[in-house]
Amino acid sequence: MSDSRIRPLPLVRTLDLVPEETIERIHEASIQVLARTGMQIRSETLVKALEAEGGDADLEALRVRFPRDMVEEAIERAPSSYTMYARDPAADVVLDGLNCYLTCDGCASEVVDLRTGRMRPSTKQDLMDTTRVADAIPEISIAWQPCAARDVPTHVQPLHELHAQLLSTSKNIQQMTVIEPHHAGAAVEMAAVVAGGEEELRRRPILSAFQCTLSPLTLDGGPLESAVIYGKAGIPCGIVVMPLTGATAPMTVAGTLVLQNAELLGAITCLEFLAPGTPTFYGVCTSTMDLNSGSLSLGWGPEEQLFSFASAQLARRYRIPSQIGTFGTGAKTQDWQAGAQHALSGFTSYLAGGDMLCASGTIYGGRVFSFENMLLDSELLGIAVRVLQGFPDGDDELAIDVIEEVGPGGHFLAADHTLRHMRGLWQPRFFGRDSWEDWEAAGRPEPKHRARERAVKILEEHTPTPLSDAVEEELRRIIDHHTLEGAIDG
Amino acid sequence: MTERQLKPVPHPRTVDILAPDQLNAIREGSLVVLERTGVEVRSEHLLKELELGGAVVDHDVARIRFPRDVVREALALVPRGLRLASRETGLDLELDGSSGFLTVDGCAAEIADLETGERRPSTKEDLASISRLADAIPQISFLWQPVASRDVPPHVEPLHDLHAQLANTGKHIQLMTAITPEQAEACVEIASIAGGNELRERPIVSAFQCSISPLTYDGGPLEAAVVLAGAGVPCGFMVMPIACATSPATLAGTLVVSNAEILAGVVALQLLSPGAATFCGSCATVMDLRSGAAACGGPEDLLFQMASTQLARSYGLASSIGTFATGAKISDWQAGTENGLSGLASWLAGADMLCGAGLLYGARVYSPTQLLLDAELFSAITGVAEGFTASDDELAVEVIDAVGPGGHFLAADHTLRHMRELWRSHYLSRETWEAWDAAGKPEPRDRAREHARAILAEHEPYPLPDGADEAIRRVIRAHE
Repeated sequence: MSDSRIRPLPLVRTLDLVPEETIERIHEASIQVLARTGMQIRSETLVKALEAEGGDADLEALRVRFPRDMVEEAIERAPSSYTMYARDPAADVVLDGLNCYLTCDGCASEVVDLRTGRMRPSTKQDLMDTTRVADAIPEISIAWQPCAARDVPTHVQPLHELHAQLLSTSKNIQQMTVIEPHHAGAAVEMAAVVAGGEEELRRRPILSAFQCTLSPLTLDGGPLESAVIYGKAGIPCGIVVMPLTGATAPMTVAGTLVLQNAELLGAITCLEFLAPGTPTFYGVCTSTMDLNSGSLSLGWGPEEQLFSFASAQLARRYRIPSQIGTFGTGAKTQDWQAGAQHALSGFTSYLAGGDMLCASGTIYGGRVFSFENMLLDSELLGIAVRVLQGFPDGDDELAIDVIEEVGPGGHFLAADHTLRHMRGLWQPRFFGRDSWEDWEAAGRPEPKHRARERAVKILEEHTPTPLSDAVEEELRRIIDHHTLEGAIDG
Repeated sequence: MTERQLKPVPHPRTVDILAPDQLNAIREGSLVVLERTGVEVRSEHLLKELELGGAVVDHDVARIRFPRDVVREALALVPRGLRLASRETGLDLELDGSSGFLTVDGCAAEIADLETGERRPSTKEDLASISRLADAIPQISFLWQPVASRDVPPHVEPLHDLHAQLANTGKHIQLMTAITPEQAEACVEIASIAGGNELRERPIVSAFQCSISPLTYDGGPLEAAVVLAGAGVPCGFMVMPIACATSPATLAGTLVVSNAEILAGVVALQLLSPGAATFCGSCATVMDLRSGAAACGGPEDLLFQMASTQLARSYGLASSIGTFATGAKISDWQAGTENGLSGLASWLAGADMLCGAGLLYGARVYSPTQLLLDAELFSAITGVAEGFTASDDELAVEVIDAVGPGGHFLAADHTLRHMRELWRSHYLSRETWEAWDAAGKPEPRDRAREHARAILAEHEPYPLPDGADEAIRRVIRAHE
């Protein structure tokens, strides 16, 4: 199976749905926001450092306003193409605009137990299991932390999470739970052990990461300092924004895009001036508010697809790889809602031409991880890939001779042409195509039941590429060291 | 009552799935098939008439071949643009390529009963109630016959179908069950009663006829098409090939043969009734290799949708494209996924008519619940297609500055002014996990079922003119 560790989504038909002048208006408005309103950077040290680089700083309010030139310079500094390396080189992925890659979702605090079917708090073992299934699914190219390791000491939780993933996958691990500089330092240390030293890690960073803004227009010190540590170690670090229309962003689609774009450009400007040349990406998980509850809407629809289209276009305008929020669903199981919401978001994000799609595997607005979802998403994307690849060429494809041979009223079942080509038809893994009678006799199974069986089988059979004993021991030593140090500090 | 409006999906830009040379190769392939292989037409009388029109006929095997000049000249006779009228004011469909209209799907032999959830043979009463339900849903622009009236005599079933629908919707009706000239004549008579004898100016019904793949037309459907055309009723041609069984295993080959069948119908109609309004229809799928049945729902179906739309557009004809065609047996993940993907595919391709909402199990079982869910999906796709605007107010630079870093937009005037613009779902789950658990884990299909019941308890369709119901019954009795 090593020949198909990764199954990318070829970007063959990217659709620029949003008119170019709208994209330009959003860009100009966000440049204006950065220059006039600016961002709050909650670290005096960083505000001073950004002031030294040309930012217009208000130290009292920890506010930094970014002149247009500075933002444009930062966009220039950000690489437009780079590789997400993996422990297994066969799982390396190149972000070059030719293919789109799917990540598994993160970071849920609950998991649907495969055995009982019930939701419960997640553990380090769950993180290992979900990661191991992601390792086995070729549609998953990059591993987020599917769920939180809630059964380990919180002051070293991100280190346990990285440990769990290093043991469970040889794909690129995208760290999302490290938000303190000392954790970032430890994560770099652990990744270096696995990569074979700091220089080797710089050459082939098997880790990537991202940091989030706090909408509206705020960056905590920890995440930005962590991003700088990653950047200096050669580890790609994206910026991800998660504004909520109507709550932490304006109510309009255009206004939310302005805010989101300003935050992304602002944070990227910080990173590219504090750690110039760091590979970064334009990450977007923008969503709408539920007007009844004031929290994340679980019933979202078209606005999220519009955010996807516009975000991918904006990132292309800046020649910075994008990571587009995809496969959000408010469903609590793999029902019609999960299918419909995932079909809309999966197909549109892919069409929008995102470099990375995040992410597969959660339900209930990202709060609960479900193995079944990750498998079902791969079936769904398989269909989208086949569709956008279009039609193969060739005279034999046109079948004019076999049409003449069979003639009106005949059939093609026994034709040579049929036998030659029938294996090219797509075969479902989880869709049900049995007769109504067989379906009833089998107890009316749904796709989620087949997906669950598949997940159980993967967990029984799939062994990820192991780490050497020496490396494992060294990783444990690092975690022990930080556990102890934290306990003494605490 | 304020005037109702249809809610079609706009086509701001379309995706051509076939490259220009692929499109030409398929068009050329169809011409070769029509010229060399030809089509079987099972009507001696039509063969003679088509021979007079320039087709090459082999009477012994009822085979008819169309020289390419005949095809070209016939296609030039088809009127461009198509308007499908409604009985109720303001619900006309303007098929000019700028938007796509959703129909209720048809024609299932069974219905998933709204009360029991179990499937059973369908009746005229079912047809009436589904039509009334569809009438109330803004996303449904026109109606096929969702289920067969299996409790009436078969030879007058299309008459009963039309009666049940006219009495239950003011929207445009597209006939798919009138497949003999006698049935077509009676339907014209019935439609004229309901539409005030203005069919020619305002066709409140249209129709389509199906080929039998590969390359065969029964006499009845073609003769019915001529009758309908003669009364000013637009009549399209629909193909339903199954790759590997009734069409070649390759996708392009299936398009070549299905396009040839559509062209044969269109050309024959123009030879028999020059200038008749018509359109191209396709509900193509592939064979499931395990069972030999129609697969319904994989990527091949979506490719057929997109390419068939593009082919119709290349001839300047309107397209009617099989879209929501899930193979799922209940409204589950599969139904949501398959129909979500296929809805997007037809929209992207720019289909004029999307057929249709409400079928399960590969078009064999009609589900009123699924009808509402498909309409919701269509509504979400419409929201994407409508896009967004970026006025200075919408760009929100001022409110962003006023709120500033770390603030929130909940109480902003700007938020209050715009909050009603968000898309709102009817059936998606928004409650907390705990509330969902306590309510017995309801799914969207449960909410849709409740909503269907509520609509049926309340909705009154646009009434028939005085005396029309009795006059229609008289026509049906005369044909019985």
